[in-house]
Amino acid sequence: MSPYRPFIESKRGGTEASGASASAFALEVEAVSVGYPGRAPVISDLNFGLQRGKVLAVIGPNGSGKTTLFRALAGELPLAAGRVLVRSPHGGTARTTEARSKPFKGRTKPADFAGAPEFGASRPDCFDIHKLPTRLKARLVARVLQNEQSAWAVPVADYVRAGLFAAEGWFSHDPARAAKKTAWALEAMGIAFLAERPVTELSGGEFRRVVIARALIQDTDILLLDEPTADLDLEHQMETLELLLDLAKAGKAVAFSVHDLNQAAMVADRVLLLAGGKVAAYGKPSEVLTAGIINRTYGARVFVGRHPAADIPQIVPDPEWMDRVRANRRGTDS
Amino acid sequence: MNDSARGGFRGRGLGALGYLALGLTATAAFLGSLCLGSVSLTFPEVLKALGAKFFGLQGVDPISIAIVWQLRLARSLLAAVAGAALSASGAVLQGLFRNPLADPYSMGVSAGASLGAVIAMVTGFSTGLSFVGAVEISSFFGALAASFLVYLTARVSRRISPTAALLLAGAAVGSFVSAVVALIVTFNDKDLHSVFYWMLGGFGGKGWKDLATAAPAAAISLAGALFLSRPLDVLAAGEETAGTLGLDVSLLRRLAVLAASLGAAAAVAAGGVIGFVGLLGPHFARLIVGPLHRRLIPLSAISGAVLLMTADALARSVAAPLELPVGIVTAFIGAPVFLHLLGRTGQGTTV
Repeated sequence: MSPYRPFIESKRGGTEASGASASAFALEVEAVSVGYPGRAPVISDLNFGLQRGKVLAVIGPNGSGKTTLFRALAGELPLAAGRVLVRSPHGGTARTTEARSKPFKGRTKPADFAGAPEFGASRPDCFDIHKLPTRLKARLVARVLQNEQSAWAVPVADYVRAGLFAAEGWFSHDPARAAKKTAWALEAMGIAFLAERPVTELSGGEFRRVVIARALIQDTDILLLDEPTADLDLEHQMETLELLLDLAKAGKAVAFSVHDLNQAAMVADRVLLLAGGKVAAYGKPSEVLTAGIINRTYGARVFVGRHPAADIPQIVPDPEWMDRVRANRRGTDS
Repeated sequence: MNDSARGGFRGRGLGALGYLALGLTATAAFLGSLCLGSVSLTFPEVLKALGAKFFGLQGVDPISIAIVWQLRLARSLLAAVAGAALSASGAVLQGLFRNPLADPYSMGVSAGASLGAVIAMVTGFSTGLSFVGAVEISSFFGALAASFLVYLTARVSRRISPTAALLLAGAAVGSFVSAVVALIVTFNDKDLHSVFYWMLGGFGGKGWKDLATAAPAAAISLAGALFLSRPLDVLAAGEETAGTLGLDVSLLRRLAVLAASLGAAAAVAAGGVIGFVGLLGPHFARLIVGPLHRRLIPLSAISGAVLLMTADALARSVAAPLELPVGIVTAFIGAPVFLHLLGRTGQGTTV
């Protein structure tokens, strides 16, 4: 797969933008609680940020609230408390009279965000994502679901093109530009050869790359991927992890959830460990991925060493536990 | 990789030849339906009769002019309009429910229309209007009222997805309203015959004024359906994904139900409850142009129109001078064709 190159068509190119505000948070989570009515909160009092150019791995036992968190970050799930702030992709204030007077041409323009609720004088460059209309949310945050199934045998190129819906709206605006963007996204994901194939006839790995391609042409600064490496073979897992790094390098803020802790160790700049809807640990992989923390939150028995060739944690089952299990096993066999 | 292995369609739409073939088929079905009936006319006779009316052609048999103009032309057009409305509504609801088995009556429209028609027949009220009959107008509003009731009922549910709730509410409200219809008919068995005939569908005795009332509603429905084609494409990926792509799914749901109900109500008011057209039309269209709605919806309208014109022509000619209810003809054609299509549906492809 060719390395990811941002789609450059305007002054707002990915690499150029990354240098400008790489240190600032693209998305900030402030004292967020999420819950379904009449039940205990799924997530309570969460604080963290997503940085452009960085990869965040969200880990945690099943049911710890990873997917719920992503839905809340994308503004799809109402919050019980707190707020999710998303930095305007244009820097500075979103209200620009010059841009507002020009007609919308299908590209993210400040004018489209004019009138959207902003924060007062303290945060003029941020939006509360929960107060934006659906289409604007989709232009700030792209989210890739864990499971998705197409109802119809739509050709891959058209399926990917749906990623432009947030920019284009209920009618198509510019077919030539859409075709160009679609071709770029397919190329970036190494699936240009699948363009005409119906999405219902793809392998799991191919389909996964199709939906990531669709997220790419949403052209957002923030990408949330729910278990992007699940049900992929080793080669495609590694390609996907590489892509996450490339996307971050191109200036995007990337968050992905994952069960394989070693994958988190490999690519993440920060790791967020959720347990029971609360942050059990947050920090660099070497700080979070320790035997003590993992054994406590997962109720498992692991041994954390170092990767033999790289300076990252390596998580394997605890040797004592393995010896005991094997001994028991031999005992029952004989 | 050949076409059939890719789902049996060319993803990039029809070529010019394809559209030409389509236009010829539709024209042939239309002219053919003008020839067929209790009195068979030849092709030249039909053309001459049309020429006499539109271009002042002289020396044409006045009887054939009368047959074509007063009995068949409006009726064929009405069948075409009803077929187009049913089929486009079917395409919209299949897109909304993401299910190729949804049909234009999923929203309880047919039951509501039956109730409206039965009330008009039993009470024998008259609209007092020259341009529209009591049964037609009553069934039209019955259909819309039923779909509105389905929509309200579905909102009560909190445990299942709103779209699934619509489908279930459609079935529940439909059965309930059908029971009310049966109850009314039980106490008014003198009207049994006309109610029975109406429910099987037919265009017998329909003319220009029926076309004038059905066409505007059908046109609005079709225009609305076209307006929804891109959001319906986005919805193919599922409701949650569509939301992440920026689609307001609940707005789409409301508009789709509105457009589809209006089209189905127009068709039911025009010709009674006619099955299979709204199911088969979109299936044929999908085989030809694939699943993208901006091509699927127009082609569904055309294939529905051709289907129902043909069925109506057969209904009035196969047992002439007796006229069959058109619903029987569509079921006799539709059921086997539908089963054949189901059998052809390969793994991973959707008809």
